[in-house]
Amino acid sequence: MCALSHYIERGSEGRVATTGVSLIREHAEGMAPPRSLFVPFPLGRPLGAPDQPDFQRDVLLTSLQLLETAAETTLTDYPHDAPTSGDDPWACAVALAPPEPADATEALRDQLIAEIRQLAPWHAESVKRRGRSTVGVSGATLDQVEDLAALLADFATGAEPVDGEIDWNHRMPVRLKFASDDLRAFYHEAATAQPGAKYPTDADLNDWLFNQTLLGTVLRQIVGRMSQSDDRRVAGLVIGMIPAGFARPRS
Amino acid sequence: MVRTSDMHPDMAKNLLSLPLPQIEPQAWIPARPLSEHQVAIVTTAGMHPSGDRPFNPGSVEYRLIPGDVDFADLRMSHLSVNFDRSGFQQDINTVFPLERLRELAADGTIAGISRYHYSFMGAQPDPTRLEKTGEEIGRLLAEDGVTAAFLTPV
Repeated sequence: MCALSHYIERGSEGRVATTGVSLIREHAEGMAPPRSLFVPFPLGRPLGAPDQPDFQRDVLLTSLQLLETAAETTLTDYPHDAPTSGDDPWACAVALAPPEPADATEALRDQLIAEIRQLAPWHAESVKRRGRSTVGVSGATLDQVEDLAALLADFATGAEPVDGEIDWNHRMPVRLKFASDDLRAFYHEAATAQPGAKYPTDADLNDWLFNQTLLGTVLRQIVGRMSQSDDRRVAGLVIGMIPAGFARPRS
Repeated sequence: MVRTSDMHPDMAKNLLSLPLPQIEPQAWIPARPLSEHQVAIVTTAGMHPSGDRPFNPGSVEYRLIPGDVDFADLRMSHLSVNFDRSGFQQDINTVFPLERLRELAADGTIAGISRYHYSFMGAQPDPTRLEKTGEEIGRLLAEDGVTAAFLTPV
């Protein structure tokens, strides 16, 4: 990000000034982009929080104002933390009660699909309210979400994954990463569509998905298989599957 | 408050071990009133329209995001698992504040918005590999009359 600031200004031959936000102050200090606003927000939320237009606008404006005030390389600190929903802990309103994952491929597929169907009405609400879904990086359409579950169940149980109907964007094994991301997006969108669930933090959602859903358990099984693979491409995907701190279930 | 000292130690260690190459700064571009600026967004969130190619590991390419893009058409194929996607999933402005920029243009705070915005894959192990495409974006923006780029990471 910081490097791009330098390259854009250079490529524009002084015609395009850059400003921006930085989520990692040490990187901005080290690479010294011309103008940057450090924001103390979680990675992935550079404007602070979803559905907070006034706050987002203030972050954006504070960064843009460096274009008319900075006379030399400038790194400033945004003075506010991201808004939260307060002290009440967020909890997913749908009690999924995940079962022990089945060993057999077909049975695990059925279990995962059953969990997805519990969330499907809330995902439909999410689509209705937001007018969109971010599911689709794997190539799957929304009506193929259960096929994504089948792919993960196949790999988790050691079965040979079948191509199915999805027009995949990636080959195996990278396909597993994006199938997993799409399913996590489906779960997040469903969970955040429920009443009272407006502002779960990223940690809230990770804790829910990796400790209170069958999908979380299956993703851990997949990572276990990946890490034992002789194929370096498979083993190399391990770092992209589960966020730091969630590799083991909460005791 | 989120700083590297608040992050999971593995994540902080990884982030702080990334190389920070020194890049020769350009001649300072003089300040001018915000109300004169045509602004584009350049993001390293790995976003792209659904019909465009998803990013692959190690990609230094960029994807074009038209200024009239339908938010329902935007996807994110960033590879890193260690940042939150749920903010983007709930409200794309959390990462790509195009609607906020439109509001600033509508009330005259900025002069206008670029016809095109650009997206890269972040978490680059060697940021100097972005030199060629970064300079290309600079030329494209300048030729399109854009005077400022707002850069947003994830």
